[in-house]
Amino acid sequence: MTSGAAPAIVCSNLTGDTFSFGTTIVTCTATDSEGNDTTDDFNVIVEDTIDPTLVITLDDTALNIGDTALVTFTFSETPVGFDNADVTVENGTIDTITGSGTVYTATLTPTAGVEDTTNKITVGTDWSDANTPTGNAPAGATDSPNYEMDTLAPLAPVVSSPTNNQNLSINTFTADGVCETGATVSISNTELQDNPKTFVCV
Amino acid sequence: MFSIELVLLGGANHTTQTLTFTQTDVAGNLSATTDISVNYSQQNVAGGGLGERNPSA
Repeated sequence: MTSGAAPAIVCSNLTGDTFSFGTTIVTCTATDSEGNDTTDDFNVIVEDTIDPTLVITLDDTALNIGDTALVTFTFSETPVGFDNADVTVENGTIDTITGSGTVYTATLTPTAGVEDTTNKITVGTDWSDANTPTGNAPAGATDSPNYEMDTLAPLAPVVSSPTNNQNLSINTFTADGVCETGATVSISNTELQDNPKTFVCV
Repeated sequence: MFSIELVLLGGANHTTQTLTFTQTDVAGNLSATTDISVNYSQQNVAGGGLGERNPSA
């Protein structure tokens, strides 16, 4: 290569190109005015230095008997290795996680016979993003919003009066008993003046 | 606790009626039932109204 005029340089990538995560080999060839050329290459390494994140949402945060909740896992980047084994559910279970890309879902079924106002779903750190050969793990475990649970049926009302098989000589009488405060009590019989008779337990 | 007045209709006279008690908690969960049977026979009331008096008395 002769000295003097600047050589023409042609590379395999142009100025302004966007490189993918990982290593890209860029090859450049310099050619002088005499037609002499030389070629060399270098590596461009793009690293993903941002940890992936996850947001967990539930479409029902007050679960009662017969309720289920749709749980949605939304990742900042497509996860690798995310499955049911990464998920811990308090007072409930989830079915098989399905989805693709950055969004996955499962159905939460609460455990029967539980009253607990503080529950959460936790996703551990045994998954990573897919942007580098090794992948970046999340910085820590991810918790869902709190959900309340009442899958414990109240006891049947305890009736102290009238007693079973009691004889009544008049059509007006008083029913006494024990109920759960705040519950709605119902007394039904087709011959009652108000059927069903309902009231809130105090 | 509860104490509630109930009234049986006339059709219940001289019958056994089953009262069914349930409760629904604030979360909407329904209890099992408590059934109480009562035997209703209205007592005859002595005397009566003016229209029932014996006019010869």
